[in-house]
Amino acid sequence: MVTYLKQSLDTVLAFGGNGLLLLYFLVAVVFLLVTEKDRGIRKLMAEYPMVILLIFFIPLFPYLVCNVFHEGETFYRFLWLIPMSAVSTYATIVFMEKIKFKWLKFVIGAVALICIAIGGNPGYQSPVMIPATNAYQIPEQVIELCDAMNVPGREVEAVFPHELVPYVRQYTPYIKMPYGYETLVARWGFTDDLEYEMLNDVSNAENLTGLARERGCHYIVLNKNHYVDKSLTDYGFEVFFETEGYIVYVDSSNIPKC
Amino acid sequence: MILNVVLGILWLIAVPFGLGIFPCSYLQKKYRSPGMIFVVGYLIMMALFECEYLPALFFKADFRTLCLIFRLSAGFLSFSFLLLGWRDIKSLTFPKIHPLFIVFIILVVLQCVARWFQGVTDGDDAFFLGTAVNSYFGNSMYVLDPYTGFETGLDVRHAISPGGVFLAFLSDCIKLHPAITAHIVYADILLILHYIVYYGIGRILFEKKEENAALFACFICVFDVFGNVSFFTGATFLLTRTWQGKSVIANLCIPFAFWLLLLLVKEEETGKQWRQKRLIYGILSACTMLAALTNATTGVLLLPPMFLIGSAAVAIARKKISPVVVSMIAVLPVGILALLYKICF
Repeated sequence: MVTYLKQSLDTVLAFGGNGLLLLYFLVAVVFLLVTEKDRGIRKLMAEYPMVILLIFFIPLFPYLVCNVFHEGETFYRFLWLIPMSAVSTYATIVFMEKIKFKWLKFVIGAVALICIAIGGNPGYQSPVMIPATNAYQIPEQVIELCDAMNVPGREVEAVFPHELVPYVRQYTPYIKMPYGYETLVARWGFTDDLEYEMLNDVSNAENLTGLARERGCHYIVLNKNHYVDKSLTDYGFEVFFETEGYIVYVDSSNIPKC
Repeated sequence: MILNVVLGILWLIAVPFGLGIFPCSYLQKKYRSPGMIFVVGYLIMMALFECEYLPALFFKADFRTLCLIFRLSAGFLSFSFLLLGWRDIKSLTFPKIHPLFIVFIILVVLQCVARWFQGVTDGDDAFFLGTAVNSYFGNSMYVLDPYTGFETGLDVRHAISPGGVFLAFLSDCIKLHPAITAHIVYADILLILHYIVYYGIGRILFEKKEENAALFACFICVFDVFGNVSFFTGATFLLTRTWQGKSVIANLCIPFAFWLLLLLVKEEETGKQWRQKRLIYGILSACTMLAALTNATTGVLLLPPMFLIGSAAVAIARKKISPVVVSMIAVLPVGILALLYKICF
């Protein structure tokens, strides 16, 4: 029971960032509970969010979500049902409306905006955001490499370095990969020998080429900064294409043709 | 390019607008705005897609066949609804243009433009866009592993929610690569729909002073821009993975459901012609739940409790049991579909 309570609390705290927006929301709820005259609006804007929050903290709820529906990883999404921004904003504007002086309304509005800015974090500074260099919004290198490997009228198979794996099949369905993004996420528990070899600080060329050939790969793409103990050309692969950061080897005994 | 634009206007604007106009004609005039018609149209389109996709998946139909059937049915329904509701076009309520509304529009446009210039390194695209690319280029649905491209058995957990296939359908309609469709076209549409819904919420909350609705929407914009307090928030999803199914649930389906609940509470207060309106409320709720299911499996766990709890709050406030009854009936389609899916696959 304590475990589930803690899980709920941790999720709410993580959802609330530094806590200021959470506090802002709670104050807004209390304000609406006290001042809102329309019973229906009060129920939806103040009581309904509290009921959702309450349900979230009943230990049976996380238990059901995690053990019956097996949605433990997405448990936090139930907090989306609480209209935090709408409630906070509504309460702020209602409060502003109650004030006579126009200048004071501006001050309160400005303070609210400052609270949001301090309590929040700009989405545009998120580490997952990168400048888009093309209309696909896929790294330029992926497009360049995939276009070079493309053989009209057929599919090819290629091993990519980890940083490029998630993007390849967002761009083209004509390049298959022996392992995909699912192998990169450790908690999902997928393992792959070839992926391990690619992940090693220094890859073993014999192993790498042997495993790639075993899996039917036509190409091996390596980051130029990635170390391999010997050259892949010693094991029947030849340099096929180069970009600024990557080098593509093709299996000379299995060159894909149209 | 001209062809893309024409097809875009037809499938991304005209068809959803047609789909939304008839259900919205039952709403009170003050709530019947062109924007909300557009939102309702999109949700109906998504719900209809789910209803046609599941049988197509069961009978192992290919992607283009589903597209053809869906185009015919959505086109026909849109045209029929347009014929049924065209008289109401004249009675639409447009937003009042005043400085705060203009600020709101500028904030939305800035976000839409920002979306064009920002790539995202989110790994979930490997699945979502991988699925769309497989369908669009490979003419198949959930036959190939989106991560690797090899044939695979049906991914039962994800296949019930064809968000990626729906994206492939939109790509097919406008003849653009799914990655461009998702990151630029669909993302901007979803951002606009998101803010239309919030403006709609503001209009219900501040019926007597529409400037406040615009102020409300401006505040929501600021909340969204600064909402990246953690990986978990809807605002983070809105800015970093706008086009993904989870984001559509958090930022379109759930706010729209809240708009519906607010509408319910207001309509229950006036009580005029409410029998018909309850029917429309029920249909729109059911469509919202199905649209959520189209976008992500979580939709089936999130939206039904929201409608049931929310309608219970309305029922208590207005001392009527009918909102709960209507919501319970509205939950049935998504429940039955999920159950059938569980049995069949």
